[in-house]
Formats: sequence, structure tokens, C-alpha cells
Amino acid sequence: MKKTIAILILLLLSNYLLGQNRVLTGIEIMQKIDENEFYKTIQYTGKMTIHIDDQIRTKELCAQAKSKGHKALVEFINPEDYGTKYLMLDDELWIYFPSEEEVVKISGHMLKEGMMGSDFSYEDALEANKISEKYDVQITGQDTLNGNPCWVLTLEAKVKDVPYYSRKMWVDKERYIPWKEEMYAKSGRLLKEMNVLQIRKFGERIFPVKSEMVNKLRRNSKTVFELEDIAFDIDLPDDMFSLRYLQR
Amino acid sequence: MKKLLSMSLLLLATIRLFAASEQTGIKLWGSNYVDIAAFHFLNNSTDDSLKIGGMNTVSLKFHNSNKHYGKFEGNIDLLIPLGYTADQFSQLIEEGDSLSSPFYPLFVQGNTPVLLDIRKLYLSVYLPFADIMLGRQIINFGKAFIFSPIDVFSTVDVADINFRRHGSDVTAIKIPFSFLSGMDLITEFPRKHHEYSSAFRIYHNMWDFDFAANAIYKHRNKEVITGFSFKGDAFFGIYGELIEHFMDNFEKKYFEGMFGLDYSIANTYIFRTEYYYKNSNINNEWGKHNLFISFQYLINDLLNVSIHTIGSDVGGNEQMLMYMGQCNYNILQNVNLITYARYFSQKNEVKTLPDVEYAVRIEVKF
Repeated sequence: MKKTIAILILLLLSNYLLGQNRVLTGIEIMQKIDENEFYKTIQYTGKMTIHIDDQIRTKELCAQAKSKGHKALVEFINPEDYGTKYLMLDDELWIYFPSEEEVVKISGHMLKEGMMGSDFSYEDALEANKISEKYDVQITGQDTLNGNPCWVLTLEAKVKDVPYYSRKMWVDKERYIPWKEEMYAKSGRLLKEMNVLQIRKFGERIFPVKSEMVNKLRRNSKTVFELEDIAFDIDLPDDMFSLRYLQR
Repeated sequence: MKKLLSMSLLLLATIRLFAASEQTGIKLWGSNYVDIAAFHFLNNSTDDSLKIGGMNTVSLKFHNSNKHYGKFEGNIDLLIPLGYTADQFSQLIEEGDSLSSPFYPLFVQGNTPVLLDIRKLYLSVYLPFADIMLGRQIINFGKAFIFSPIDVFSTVDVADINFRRHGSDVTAIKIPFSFLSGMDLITEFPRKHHEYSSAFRIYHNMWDFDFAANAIYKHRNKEVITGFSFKGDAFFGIYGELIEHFMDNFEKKYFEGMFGLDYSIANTYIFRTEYYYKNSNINNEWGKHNLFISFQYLINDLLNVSIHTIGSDVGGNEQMLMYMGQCNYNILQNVNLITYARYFSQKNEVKTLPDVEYAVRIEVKF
């Protein structure tokens, strides 16, 4: 009887210990990132600083987005691009140029182009919320990045319709922040690198507020993107994500 | 000279007034650009085959900041032509042809006319079921970049290096059906001695394509135009317009069509072409067969070069061709330097049009 009780206690203890140290799967880590960054709606002003050789160009924008249906409306407010707007609905994108009252649908090959001359492509913006749906995720290592212990995830495309064949991601073990991401072509060539430079706590949520994208195909070029005046889960009417609103 | 000076002071005061009232809800922005051009007449045997001209353009844009219930928007260009260009405008004003141009002569100082181009000046009201707009607007009705048979309101100005459009005086009603579909009703204000049109279109997005069914009525000509247009992606970006003209109580009918392709390689090379077929019974500036080809090479995000060619009646007896080479350099955040050269061939007896134009534009945005 004593032996049975001792085995039972040992079993319970080992179960508890295993539960504590259970290693998360790659998909679970991706889900944790999504849970941390998840919002119903978001509104912010942003600043894109584009570094080209030794020159700097700045773009300022106001953005509103809704998670449900992957909807976003972005308006540029710097004098050079004032009034230029983007409407993203799921995986479709339209640009409005106010000077000529022109609405242009961006599709296919054009999605690979840099957004307003930056190192972020339209595709980067469109697929930001869909990575876990389109890639198989494996934990392939552990690393320390700027003093932060990280999981190293390797993502391989499981569908054809992706801009990058594989990705490598450094995810903070405690806060589930993807500090660094590398995007590769099928040939194994490094195409882009993204680094989170600054995070900020909003209630329970820890959100990246400053990041940089380096396009490895362009010489001496990087774009730093900063978010300011962020408001989460505010009321945004559905009809603002429409072609009608885009042209107002 | 006094008038020019007072005009400049008035302009500065207007800018200051608008800037001061920004807190009360007016957003003002715009640009100033100067074009300096040399016009080369190759077949001119006289010594002055090379003429120097140009234009200074102040482009002011504004709208109310709070656009919740509606919008009052304007885009007013003030133009001061220089040298040979000023001579051409003065001649047009003397001949009384300026009425057909979008440029309104404010006054003439010596041989220099000061011109006004009101591109936009309209009021919008946003109702729950529709947006209603009244006044001078840019109506981008077609899908084409250059040749659009259904673009009857604000047609593309091929003489402008950016292929800009001019405003039309219209009432427009936009009724949405869903986020990506709706109906537009547009009617032009009647003008003496000029054609004016009314139009209707229903648009919808499906299978990743934007489709539109269009109907246009030209009042003076009593002509009905119907057709459809599309824009989407099938490896290449593809777009087109197919329309039928009906005249004389539907006894006569003519077909017009446009088809365009665009493609981008490695975010560096951008290619675009458009073919436009026009029936010879239709009276506009283009020939039966018309082609536009454009190629742009982005050296980096600050510097690009491009070549544009417009040919009309290619292969016919009366060819009209325009080649334009451009180099755009974004020198500073808000300063662009554009150098361009244009070659015009078979000018259809337009004697004032040079054979070659070499020019430079400096643009400052504010």
C-alpha cells in the first residue's frame, strides 16, 4: 500500500514538473505571439524613416485597422504625399491618389513593390496577420538576442502563394516578442531582415512600437517604422473600410 | 510689373491666411514648380530655330480638416509663362482661343499673361445613402492611363509631362451598394457651344477584378455610349474598355476599344502599354490605331528614368508620334528635379509645336 501511494505521489509530481517545463511547439509559440499582439481594432499615427545611402526621407501616416476581415485604411499626411490613401481588405489592396482622383487596384506582381518607396512591400503589409496560416513552424534552436533568451523558429511555406519561401524568427521566451525575423527565397538567399527596436506595454499587451526592415536586395537601404498615439479596441465603423470612404 | 508684384503679395497673404486658420479647420498644401525649356524647330531655316520658354506654376490645394459630414476642396494653379511660352499664350488670348483652354487669363503684363487653372473647387455632402458633389472636379471615369474612350469628363492632357487631367464642372452622386460596389451618376453643367455629357456607371469587384458597366449621353450630339470596363490581374496587370456609340436615334453605331497591360520586374523595371482602336466616325483627336508604350527603370527610390511613346495611326499616312524621356531625382525630402526631352513628329500642321523640347523642372512641395 505504501509503495502504491509513493508511486502515485511520484507520478503526480513528475506530471506537475513536466507540465511546468513542457516545451511549447512552434505553432503554440506563434499563437502566443498572436495572443499578445491581438487587437480587435487599432488606430495609430506612424512615421516611416527611409534610409537610402546617406539620405533620409520621412513619411507620416494615420492608420486604422480591424482584425476581423483583415481591414486597414492608411492615409499619408506628410506634405509630399498628402491625402494618398491605402485600403486593404483581406488580401486585396487599393491606392487612392487625390491629385488625379485615381483609385488603383494593386495586385499580383505589383504587390512586390516597396510601399511608398520603403523597404516594406505591399505583400509584407497584407500578409502580416496570416503567417501561421501559411507556414509550417518548427523550433530549430535557442539563442540570446540583446540579452533576451529567444526561441529560434523556422517557418517553411505550406502554400505557394507566399512572398517568402521560408522565414527564421527569434521569439522572446518570456514575452513572446518576435525580436528578429529573416525572410528567405526558395534558393536560400536572404531577402529581408526585420528587427524590433522598441516595445511598449499597453495593459497586459506588449506591443512592438519601433521596428526596422532591411531589404537585402537593395544596397544601403533600410526603413524604420515608428508607431505613436496607439489606441486599441476603439469603435471603428465597418463602412470606413470601403471604396466610398477611400475617395473622400 | 506692379500687377505681378501685387499678385505675388496677394498669393503670399492667401497662404498666410490659410495657414493661420489651420486650427479652425483648413488644411493647405501644394507645390511650386518652374519649367525652363528650349524649343527646337529642326526644319526652321531661320537663325531662331531654338526658342527659350517655360512656366512657373504655383499649385495650391486645400480642404476642410473635419470631413465627417462633407468636404470643401480646391486645387488652384496660378501659372506665369515665360519667354516663348508666354508668346504662345498671348497669341492664343489675342485670337480668343483661350476659352477652349482650361487656363483662364487673369491679366496680361506686357507680353506676359498670368493664368489661372482651377482644377478642383467643389463641395461634397456625405449622406448615409450617398455622397453628393457639386462643382469643378477631376472625374476619373475610365480605367486607362492615357487612352480612355469612356473618359468623357476629365480627359488626360498628353501635353502635360505627368499626364494630368483638367477639372470638369459637374454634379456627381455616388451611391454605395456594398464596400466594393456602387453606382455613380454624373452630369456636366451645360456649356454654350461645347459638348456636355451625363453618365452613369455601376461597379463591382469580383474574382480580384474591378468591373464597371457604363452608359454616357452626349447632349448636343444626341449620342448614347454604352460599354464596360475592367481592371485586374492575370499574371500581367490587365485592363480594358469596350464601348459602342449609338447615334441618329440608334440608326448609326460605332465600336471603340482599349486594352492595356502593365508589369513590374523585381521592383525595378516597370512596363506599361495601351492599344486604343477608334472608329473613324468618332470625332476626337486620336487616329484609328493608337499605341502608348512606357518603360520605367527605378535606379533607386530617389532616382528613376523613363521613356514614354504615344503614337497615333501607327502605320497610316498621318502618323503622330511623341517620344518623351524623363529623369526624376528626389534631391531633398520635398524637392524634385526632373529633366525631360520630348520629340514630336508629324504635327498635323500645328506650327507652334516644336520638333524637340529639352527642359528641366524644379519642384518644391510644401
